[in-house]
Amino acid sequence: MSFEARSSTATEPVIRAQGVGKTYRMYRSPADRLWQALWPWSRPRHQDFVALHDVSFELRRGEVMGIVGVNGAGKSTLLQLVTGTVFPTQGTVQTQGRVAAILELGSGFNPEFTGRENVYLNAATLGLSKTEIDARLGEIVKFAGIGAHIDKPVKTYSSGMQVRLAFSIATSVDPDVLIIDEALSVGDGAFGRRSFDRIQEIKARGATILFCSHVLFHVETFCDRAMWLHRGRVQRMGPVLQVLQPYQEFIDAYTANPHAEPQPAPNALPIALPATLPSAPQITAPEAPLALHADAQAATPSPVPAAASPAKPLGTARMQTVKVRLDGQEGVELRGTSLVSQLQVDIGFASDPDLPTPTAAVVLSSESGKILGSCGSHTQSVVFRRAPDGSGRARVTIDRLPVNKGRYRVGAYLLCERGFHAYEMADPAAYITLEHHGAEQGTQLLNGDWGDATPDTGLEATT
Amino acid sequence: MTRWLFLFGQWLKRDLAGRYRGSVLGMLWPIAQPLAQIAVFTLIFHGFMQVRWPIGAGASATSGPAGAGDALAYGLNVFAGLAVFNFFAEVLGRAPVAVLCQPNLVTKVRFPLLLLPAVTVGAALVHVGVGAVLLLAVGALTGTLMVQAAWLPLWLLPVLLYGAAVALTLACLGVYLRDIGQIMAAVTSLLMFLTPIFYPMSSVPASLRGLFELNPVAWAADALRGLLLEGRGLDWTPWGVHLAVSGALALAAAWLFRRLERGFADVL
Repeated sequence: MSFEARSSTATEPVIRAQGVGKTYRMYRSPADRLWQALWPWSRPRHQDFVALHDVSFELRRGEVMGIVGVNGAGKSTLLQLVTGTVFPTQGTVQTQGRVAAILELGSGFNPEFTGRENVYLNAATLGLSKTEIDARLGEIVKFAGIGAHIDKPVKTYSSGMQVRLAFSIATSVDPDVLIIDEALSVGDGAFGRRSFDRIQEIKARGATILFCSHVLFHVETFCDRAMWLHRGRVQRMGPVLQVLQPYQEFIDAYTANPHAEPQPAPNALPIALPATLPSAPQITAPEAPLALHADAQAATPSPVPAAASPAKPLGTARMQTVKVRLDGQEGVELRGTSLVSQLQVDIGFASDPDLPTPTAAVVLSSESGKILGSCGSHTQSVVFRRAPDGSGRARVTIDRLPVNKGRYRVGAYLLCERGFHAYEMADPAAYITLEHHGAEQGTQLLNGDWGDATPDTGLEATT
Repeated sequence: MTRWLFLFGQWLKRDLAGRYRGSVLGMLWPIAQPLAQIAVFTLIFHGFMQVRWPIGAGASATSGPAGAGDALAYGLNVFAGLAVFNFFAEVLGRAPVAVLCQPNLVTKVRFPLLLLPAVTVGAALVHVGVGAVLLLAVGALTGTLMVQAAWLPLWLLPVLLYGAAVALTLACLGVYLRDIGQIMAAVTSLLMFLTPIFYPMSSVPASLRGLFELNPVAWAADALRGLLLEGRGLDWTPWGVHLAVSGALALAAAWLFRRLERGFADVL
């Protein structure tokens, strides 16, 4: 089926998928399925469901590809095919070296066993030998921050400790191919940050990574390439921005209308947005950027460090105050005028002085959570002043808000120095309602100046 | 290979310790449970119902210490039969869910799934091993232990292969057919009475004897009593036949497992 040109091993792909398809057979009963597996030549008793159709790609050492798509697009199936747990119906998937997957963290733990016993069991299951585990045990325990608890039964661990230990084991495998499915924001702020660093480290070591996330800015920062799957087919594949932009447009349309279809051709036209604000019923799009908020809310009230750290957070940073002002007036429900009002957000933060200075961002979104625009300090290379204890106050000012009439949500974010990992967020921090006298369409107002194209010839304008 | 053994050891440990860890008796359970069974069965069948184990049912008349020895002989014979039966009962009961209960190993990681039914057999073997050691110890204490006990490893070979064949078959079928577990519960309770546990093989009418000897559990129970309690050596012809049959069945079961394995992730 394939004619292989024998290339040099250095550039040989680590993952090669050729025309891969997966058709699930839906049987009326499991007995039918068994019968079919035993006698493939008997008359078919199933209906086909095409989960993945004709996917081809190659990844070399150190390449990172993000996979995006709404639920049911075939992402999990593709990851399983590469992991080797599911066999393709058509085509082939070849991988080289050790494949590790970070998914379902900690589900394999036996609660009665000690942490140490679970490390051995889990690491062995992921393919490590005894000597390898012996050598890495100290590092696994240290990274998870479990300390002396390692010899206590896992049932006495907090859920955060379990997730940390599982993540630490999964990433200690030193894989050639790493498969990450939505596992990046694990644990509390400090560990969340270190887990990002760990994955960056694995990337730097030359592992080939498949990265599946609904948090698009993670995909954008982390991946070189991206693949957009829709209904089991590759919609777009290529450099990350060329995939994410049309995908974001599609997601916006999908949020308003779950029956939306992606634009078929490349060079897709911008999707027409409804003229008025989407006052549609609160569609919590299954995979809209909302995922980000959900993560945050789960992480923010982290009870463990909150008690221990009144002012100086260890290994992380947190927001202490968020003040939103519209035209100088502070509050959580503010009114103003499009193209006139000034929005100002102050973020007071505390951070570990040993960490690089955090960055901040504000996000303006519609009431249903669709992101309309954002402004990050990382992009502007601003480094906030910090007191010796790591605290500081950041401010952003946005003049003449170029947004049409309507009610919007203002969110404040505190991020790591790369603008990648969100330490904490307050979204919504406030709502603003804007008035506008014109009849312009769309959410954005273009901040332009109208005038005559012809030179002034002394003629009076006829009013 | 060492990696496989290590992985097998880890899962075997999880399987065994996972069952007893946290309980008061802990690892004493594998010993306490069969002891309790012998006590109750001896009391009921021997004490209440006056069933007697025919002395010298086998070859040499090993009439241990007289009097109380009668009850002890009954208890030991039941225990030997029960140890064998428990081995197969455990495999029959747990193999159907060996893979079914580990969906993460099927769908999330690349894992040699063949190991799971092997662990089921291994755990059952540990239990039968505890029983054998108990029997050997009692034999040594009462001075009835005989040199034939040295054949134990050879006896074990077909038993293990039968266990593996059953475990592999049930483990892969169990993924597709959840009824297997229910069916096996019924089979197990029938097996208990179709196997000479509470009665010696010699009490089976001659006309049915051939049929009973086809039952591998019956053969194994009878042969184990012969080795440990009666000083009979292994009867080589049935042993050879059972070895050949069990080996063939185990190979066929492994083939079936590998064939159905590819579809596990589609089902779970």
